[in-house]
Amino acid sequence: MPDTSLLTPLEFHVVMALRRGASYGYALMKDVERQSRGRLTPDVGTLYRVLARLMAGDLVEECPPPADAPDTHRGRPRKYYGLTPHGVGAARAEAERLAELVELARDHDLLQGETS
Amino acid sequence: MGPWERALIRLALRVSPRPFRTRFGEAMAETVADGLGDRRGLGRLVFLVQSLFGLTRAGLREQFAPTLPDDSSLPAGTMDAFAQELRFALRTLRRRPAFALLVVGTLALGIGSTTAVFSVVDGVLLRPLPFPEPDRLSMVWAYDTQSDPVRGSMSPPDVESLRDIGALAAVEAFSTSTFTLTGGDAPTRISGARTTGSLLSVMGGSPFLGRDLDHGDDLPDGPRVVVVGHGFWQDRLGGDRAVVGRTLELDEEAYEIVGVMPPGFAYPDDAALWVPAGVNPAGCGRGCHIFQAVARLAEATPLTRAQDEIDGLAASLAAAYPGTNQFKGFDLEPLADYEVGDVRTGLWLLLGAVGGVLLIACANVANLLLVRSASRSTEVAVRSALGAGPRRMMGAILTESGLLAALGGLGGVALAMGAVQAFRLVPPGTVPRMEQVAVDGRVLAFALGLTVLVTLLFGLAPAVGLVRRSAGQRLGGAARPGDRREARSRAVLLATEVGLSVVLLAGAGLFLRSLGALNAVDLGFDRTEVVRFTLDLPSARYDELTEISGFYRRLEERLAEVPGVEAVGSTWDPPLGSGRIYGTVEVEGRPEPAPGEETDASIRSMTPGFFDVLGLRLIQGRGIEATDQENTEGVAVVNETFVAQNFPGEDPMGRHFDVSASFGWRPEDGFRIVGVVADVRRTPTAEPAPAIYVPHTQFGPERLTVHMRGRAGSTGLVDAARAIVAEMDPNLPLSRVETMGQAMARATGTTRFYLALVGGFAALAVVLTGVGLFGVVSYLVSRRTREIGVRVALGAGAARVRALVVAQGLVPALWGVGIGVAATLLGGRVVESLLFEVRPRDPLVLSGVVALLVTLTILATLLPARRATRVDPVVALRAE
Repeated sequence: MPDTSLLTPLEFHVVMALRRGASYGYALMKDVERQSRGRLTPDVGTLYRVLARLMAGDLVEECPPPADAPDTHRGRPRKYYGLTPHGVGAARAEAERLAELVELARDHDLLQGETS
Repeated sequence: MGPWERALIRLALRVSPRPFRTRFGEAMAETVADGLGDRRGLGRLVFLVQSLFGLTRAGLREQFAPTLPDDSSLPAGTMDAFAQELRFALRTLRRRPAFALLVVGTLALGIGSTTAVFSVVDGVLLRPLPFPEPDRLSMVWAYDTQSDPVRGSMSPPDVESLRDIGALAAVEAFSTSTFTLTGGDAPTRISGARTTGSLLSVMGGSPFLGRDLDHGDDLPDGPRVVVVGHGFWQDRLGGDRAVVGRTLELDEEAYEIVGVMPPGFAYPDDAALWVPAGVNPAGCGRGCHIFQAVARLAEATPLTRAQDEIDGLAASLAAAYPGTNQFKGFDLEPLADYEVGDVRTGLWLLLGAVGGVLLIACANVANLLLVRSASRSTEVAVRSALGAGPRRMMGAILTESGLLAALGGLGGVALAMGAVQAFRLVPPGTVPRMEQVAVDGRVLAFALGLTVLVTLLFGLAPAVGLVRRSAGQRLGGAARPGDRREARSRAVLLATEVGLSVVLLAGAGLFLRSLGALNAVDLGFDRTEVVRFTLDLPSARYDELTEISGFYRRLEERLAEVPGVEAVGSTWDPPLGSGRIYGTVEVEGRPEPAPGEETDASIRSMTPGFFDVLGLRLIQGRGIEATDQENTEGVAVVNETFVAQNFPGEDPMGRHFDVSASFGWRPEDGFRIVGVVADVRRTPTAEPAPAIYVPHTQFGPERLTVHMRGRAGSTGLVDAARAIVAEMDPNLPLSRVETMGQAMARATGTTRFYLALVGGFAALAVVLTGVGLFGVVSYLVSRRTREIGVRVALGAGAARVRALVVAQGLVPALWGVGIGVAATLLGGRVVESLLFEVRPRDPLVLSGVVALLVTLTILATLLPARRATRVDPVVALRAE
């Protein structure tokens, strides 16, 4: 089980992408790339290793496709992944931890701009 | 996603451990397909390469460091740099399409033919036999201890004795057999086996339905039970799970189905039906060798220990039954050796031959790249001057080589797939287990490995060479071909190509001569315009000899009336066919020969027309005639070898003898010799053996091969025969329908298989070598224009210039010829066992090969030489 208080950047991005709803492999790859503004471009092998780890930690699970998704894709049902309640909690905890760190950095005049 | 992309992805997925692959493999492939669907052209190629790389890396990490969280994808720059190099390489190649095509084509031929041969070696030799723990399986043969071990059949009581040996976990005996499946629409011949018990207990596995045969079934007049194969059960019994207990009509007798074999089990020889042998021990004792035996060694028992125990058994049997076992030994032969031992040398040799082709292809490509690298050195110098480090430069050059090799590899896999389809056309029996051959994951992995190896072989040398030179040295001007190191590399590569071509051509020449010799062998009979088929009358309905011989007599009479038929005759044990029966000869009036000094002869039962239909030459006396009947005196015609062995220096005519074998019928007082006939070879490689021709009316059996000779060009004989047989007995199928030409092709099939492949490889080698010579000499001429111009200006004539250029190719080629001839002379012995009446050092073949290659070299260099003679000294000197 990964230490949920310390998600790696890619894990965090995947969890964030899933926060908006269940999704599948290629869509996740594109979401991560967009969210990270191109800094993270996971290849398919890396992405599924991350998914495997998140599933082992009970943060992510396989889930039924959303209602608006087509039933099958190339003749087969597509595999969708979604956050578990535990995953949502872990994402929130991680976001709070990061926010605290950002706050700290701001207090030390490393960052400019308003606090949110 | 195309089939290639899918195959590559599947291959990359195989790197992952199975659990990971099972869980995510499909989804990962789907994701790659999504990404490919989103892209076109170069972007698509880059995404594919990235994905393959990612899948392989993830697989390796899961294998070796599953807990290590690696997520950052590649450092941002790497893939970009790679994509950039790939784009650059593609642009470079597109600028010179002829060069790219030549290199890719050469590599595709090399990789493709090597992969194709590897697929055969893998399917036939490397894959274990399809049984659990196949290393424990072994054939058991009986042999005469006074001569070398041969694969001799076993007798039922000897097999029974083997069961007491602790070193054998199980042993069963069987004979292959064909059954006529009746009771359906049309009678069909099905291959099967008669066994003494459960073959599954030896080979491993358990029945799919019901039970296997056991020793309780193997009784004389025992129950008529049958176990059917899984394929048979699906195709002919509709896959009905309630099939056990139903009956099957075989040879017009009802058999109860007691079980279905597991899927894929078809031992021996594609068997689909297994019935108990039911041999009566009273009628078939220790001297009755009718079975093949297969055993499973006890766990952790080495073959040598089992052999020791069996030797002990043979010794005790020799003491207990001196009459039959005094000089009998038993020999264990691993099943894998028995199944594929005969082609092992040949297939490894083919792999070696095709490896030669691959080396030639690589040498060719390396030469082309070397030539090109000279013109690239300016580019390299510019790039290094602009700050590209040696690693980046190596990367650039290897990317280009890798791209060429990858394209060549893809083409090669396509070629290999085509070749495997072509292998399906090889007649069954030529190479065992050929049906196992396929381009699968293992073969693709081999092709991939080969491609990487090839990239390193032909790409690394030019890359290192290019980078080693310092930028400053090159920026000044183009390379001179005079660089000695480069010139030497080129010469060595050319000599290698020519040398390998010599070896391959010599191999092809030897096989060609062997095939010629095989076809030229006088078999002792005329095979033109003869077509034949085999009939097997079911003993359930034909149990009297008069009925059997009457059927064949009436059949031959009707066949003789078919328009176009010139002669009809039948025999058991036809030349170029199967079916044997041997007996020990006892000549009347001579004392019984001492043990080990008996003479054997094969007995060929025939109808009166048989000598005529195949044109066998009668030397003395008469042939078998229609007046020789069951109730008349027993007669025989013997062949020359029989006379030489049994009546040296005597007149055999009128002498009486008897033989110790029969199909159940035989003249009571033996046979009187009424004629002598010329020898016939059973196959082109078999020496003539003693043979006795006896009347079918006196000896049986139910099965005969009917031969018909037609007038030249007559067709439809087989159809006419089929109609006549169906009219006479609708339940009788024709089997082994073939012309004698086809029978001959079958007999020479293995040699023709080797010839086709080695000949094809040699042709490839010659073409590649010719192209290589032409390319290199052309290049040299273009680089030496200035020097040639000077020579012409100083008064060198056209002939002189031409000789200068031709020598550029001829000198390394002659070195190559010398090395190749030496290699052929030294290594020729390895092919010796595959040749027929040709020695590996055949002077005709070797001199032909040398002449061919020298001519090829001169031809390949003449064209560039002609161009050299047209050099205008003024233009050449002004050029720089």
